[in-house]
Amino acid sequence: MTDEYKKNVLDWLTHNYVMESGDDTPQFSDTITVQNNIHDFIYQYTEPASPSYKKYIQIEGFDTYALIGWYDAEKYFIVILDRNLIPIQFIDSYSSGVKFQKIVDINYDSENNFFLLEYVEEDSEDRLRFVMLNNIFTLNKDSKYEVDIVKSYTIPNDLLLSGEIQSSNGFGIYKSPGQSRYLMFLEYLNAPLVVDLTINVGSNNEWKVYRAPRGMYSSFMEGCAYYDFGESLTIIIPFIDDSDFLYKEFVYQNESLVIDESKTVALPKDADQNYVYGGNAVKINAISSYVAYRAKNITQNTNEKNYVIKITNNQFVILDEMSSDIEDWTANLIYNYFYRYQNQFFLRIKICSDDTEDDIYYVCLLDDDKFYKSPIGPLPEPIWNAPFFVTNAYKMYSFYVQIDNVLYSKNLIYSSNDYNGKPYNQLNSMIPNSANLYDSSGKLLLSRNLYNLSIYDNTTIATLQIPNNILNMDQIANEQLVGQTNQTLVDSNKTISKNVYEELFLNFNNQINVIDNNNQSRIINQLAANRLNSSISCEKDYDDASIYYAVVNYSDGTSSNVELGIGQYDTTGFIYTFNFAIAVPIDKDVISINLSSKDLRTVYQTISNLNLERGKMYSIKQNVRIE
Amino acid sequence: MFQVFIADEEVVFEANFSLKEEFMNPSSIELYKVYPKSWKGTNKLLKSYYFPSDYSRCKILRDGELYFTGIVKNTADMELNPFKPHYCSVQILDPSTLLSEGTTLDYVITGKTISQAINQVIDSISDYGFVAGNITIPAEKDTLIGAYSTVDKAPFDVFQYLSLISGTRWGTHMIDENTTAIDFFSPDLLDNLGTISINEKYCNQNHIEDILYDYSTTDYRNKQIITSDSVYAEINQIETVYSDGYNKDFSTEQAIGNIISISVDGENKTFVTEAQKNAGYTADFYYTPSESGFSASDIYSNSTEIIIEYVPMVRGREVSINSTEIERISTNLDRNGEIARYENRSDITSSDELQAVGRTYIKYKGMPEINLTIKSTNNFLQLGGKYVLESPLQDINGSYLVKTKTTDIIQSGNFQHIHYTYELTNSFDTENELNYFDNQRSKNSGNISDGEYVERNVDINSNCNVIFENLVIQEITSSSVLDCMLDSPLA
Repeated sequence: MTDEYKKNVLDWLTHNYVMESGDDTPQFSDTITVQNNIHDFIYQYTEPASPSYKKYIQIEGFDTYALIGWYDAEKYFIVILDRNLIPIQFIDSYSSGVKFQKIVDINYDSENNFFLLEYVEEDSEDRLRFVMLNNIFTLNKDSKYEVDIVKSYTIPNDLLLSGEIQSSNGFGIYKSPGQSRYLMFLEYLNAPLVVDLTINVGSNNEWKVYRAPRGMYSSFMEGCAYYDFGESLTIIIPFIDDSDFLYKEFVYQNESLVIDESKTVALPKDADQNYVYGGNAVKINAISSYVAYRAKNITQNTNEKNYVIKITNNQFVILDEMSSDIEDWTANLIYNYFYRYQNQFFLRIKICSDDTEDDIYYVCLLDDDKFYKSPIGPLPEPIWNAPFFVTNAYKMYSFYVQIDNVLYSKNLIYSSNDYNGKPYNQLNSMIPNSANLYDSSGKLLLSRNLYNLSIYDNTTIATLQIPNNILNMDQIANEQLVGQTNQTLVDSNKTISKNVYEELFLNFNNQINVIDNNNQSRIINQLAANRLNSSISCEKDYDDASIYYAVVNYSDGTSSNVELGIGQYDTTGFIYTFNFAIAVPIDKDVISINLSSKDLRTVYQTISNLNLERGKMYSIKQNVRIE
Repeated sequence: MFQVFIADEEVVFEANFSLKEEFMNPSSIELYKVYPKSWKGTNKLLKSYYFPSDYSRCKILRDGELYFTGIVKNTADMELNPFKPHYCSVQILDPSTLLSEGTTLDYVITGKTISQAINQVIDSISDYGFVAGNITIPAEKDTLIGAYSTVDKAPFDVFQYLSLISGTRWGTHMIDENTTAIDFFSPDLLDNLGTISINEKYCNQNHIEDILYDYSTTDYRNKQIITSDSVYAEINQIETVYSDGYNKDFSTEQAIGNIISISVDGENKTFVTEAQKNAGYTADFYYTPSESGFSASDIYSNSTEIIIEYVPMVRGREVSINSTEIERISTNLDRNGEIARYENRSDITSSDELQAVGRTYIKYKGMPEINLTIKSTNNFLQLGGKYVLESPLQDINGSYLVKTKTTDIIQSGNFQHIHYTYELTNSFDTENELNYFDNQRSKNSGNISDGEYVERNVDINSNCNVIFENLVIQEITSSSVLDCMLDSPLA
């Protein structure tokens, strides 16, 4: 147990526990810099062309990630990364040996099998084909990752224009749960189109294409659209109309995409902000959407600088004017700045002066109408892009910005259902809630709420579950048990490693003992220990359970209660001295003195064998030490 | 003088016999060369055949008073040879044997305290002649227990369980020929029935012939690990899941014990179990306890936020430790002092009860077991009684329970000599069929395939000691009054 925890227990016992207020602001870690050499790793396969990056993919429960990128115009690759984003394997072809061509988009289904849309050019003929794959995070019998084609279907060319086939970019590809139906969201010339594929058994597949009316609307962010395969198909594609500062939505209607005028709203801006530029919108669900955009007063600032960032959730401004304190620096939303993982949303904001200076990036977490940010950097100006990725396992979030061979990251322990701020003392501070595991360098490996908690007699057992498929490449060096107000209760340095054949349960067995050592006999007071242990785990028992009275027991069976006043701590804070005085009556003896709780249910210490003389007064000093 | 009746018929038997009475286990008596007393003086012993039916009632009178009642459990040596006398041997057990072989139960104990649960079980077997005896459960342990299924369990097993989770011992005693009482007691609360003093005077007074002690650490442990495949967690899980617009079924991280609340986009929803649904209840959500998921009655649109708070069912593992004993063994050995035992329970659904069982083990087996054997011609110790031993050997002094009393009767005509052998234990553990070394590992396959995994536990033990020490008591005199704290309270 930590010294802080022990002092809190002593304060609790002696009625000196000080209540504090918390500030529920999540605490990002410092920036962690790791040379993962990803550029060099990929470059050995792409030389002389430099790689560019399209997107990362993670699947819950897997300890590996995929980075999809391209080089030399339209040669695509997939790099498998370990949990620390160190590259493991470069893949640029299917297991048959056929090279990937342009991967328009890629995703995975609820069975963790991947599928992609690929632009293929063969024998001077262009086509888009939909390809169903294996789970590329699973090792084959040779302990290699591979990409197997399970089936592929070519989109009938008469459904698409030749430009759409050649130049469309994907911003989402999804499978209907429980059905062989897929939606592919494409952008061509700043206008959206959606390909709807139903794979039939025993009859021809159904292909449909839903288009927006001709026009140049916007760019569309990966994962921005909303879809629902329910009884009737729902598609919502949000975008920002820069020209008149409006948020708009395309919706599916009669097998086409039309603007739903009822959803068109003006973007919130200050009175002096007359220009909005470079934003994007992402649907959270059928009703809500996040919008991030840049705003400025263009009449005052004619150059590209002095933009501020605003973020809204359904018109509610959750970030008002994120900008730079540095004169002439500007805020920017650039290159894959939104990242969506399942239903969680993350943002990266760049604060820069020009294209040659180092940049300051902020990594941000969006949670409903809450917005949290932390600077990561300054980072060197990348060649032209710096991919942004956020991994999430239980309460642990890791924000990554990859610049050339160096990975910059920040960790965050966060749960919308828990307190996330700095530790503080309250009545629930000593109730275990979660555990954090670190490696020997202090790097956070796992943060998760407890699997079980049992409080019995003088023992509290807090159990953390670590599933078999995670933390198999790391050595756990430090285990911390954390209370409901983020106080560290136990800080253990046990070296633990596990493998994929083990589901690990980490049991923090915490025992409180109350010992009478006045006569060097170390007599255990089990009932007192039980009460103290149960009390610190109960928010309502503090006043009743703390030592409050010296109960003086007389030879005639009567007793009197002395309210204990303020005692003294020693300089270490681990020893507290109760001071009180008693007057022995002339007609009876004092048999014993109990140091009791306020509700008199618990005797923490009995002072006996007193041999006090009748009619005299005595001062009594009783130390209580915690170790 | 002893008289024995089997099925209300007085029988005679070989003059010498032993009656072994055990606390918590059925007492037994074996009689040899048994035949009806009415055959005496006739030739029936050669002409007729005696057949004491199994489960016949048996009673033994001593000087006309009921001394023992039992059931004919086994017979042997039943002679059929027409040229030999047709007597037999019988083994008689006391009626507490019916606790383990009489019936299995078929109900769930729920919403009961320990003592209420004991009485419920006793009530359900009252037609076997069992009644409540002295049920003394410490008040702090006599709390509500979790729902407990007695299905397919013998009353003996259920009493064992209730004893373990309440930190008590249990046993039986005879009320009359047809009635046996069930006793539950905490050794701490037992009255001392006397002191066994190891000195000449005491030995002479009680005609003690032999008094021996032995100690054993065979079943000793200072760390007890108790596991269960499924217990209600003591911590609630709050999870957020999102509808995909198609599925009505949602997965949770853990198996659901019971649901506390479900909200959809912030609005509270109703929920019932699938069993309740089948009984006609309707709700917004349904779940089956022990399954890792729940179902909606309607499809929610894609990305709809559903927040569920539930009590999970988890694999339970509780560790009970006697740190003082670990320290003692460690000092003795100059090595790690942990002596651990492991037990898996399938009958426990709460962490508290797992912990309670572990505590009970540590309480009763967390010290070397010392057994005293006292032989005497005096009937001076009571079966199940608690006595304090005072001997010159400090290490063996303390409280003991009389767990076995063997009465050896040697009769010849009107001559009768009776020897009593008492076995006492300081562990208050009266089981005689202990599974001394139950190596769970030997029951598991050593092979493991891809995708399979084992459950591994790592314990991180921490102690926080609150120590009262350095007491200073000083008389306040006119010269020392200034040493007192100004704000020292005064009684």
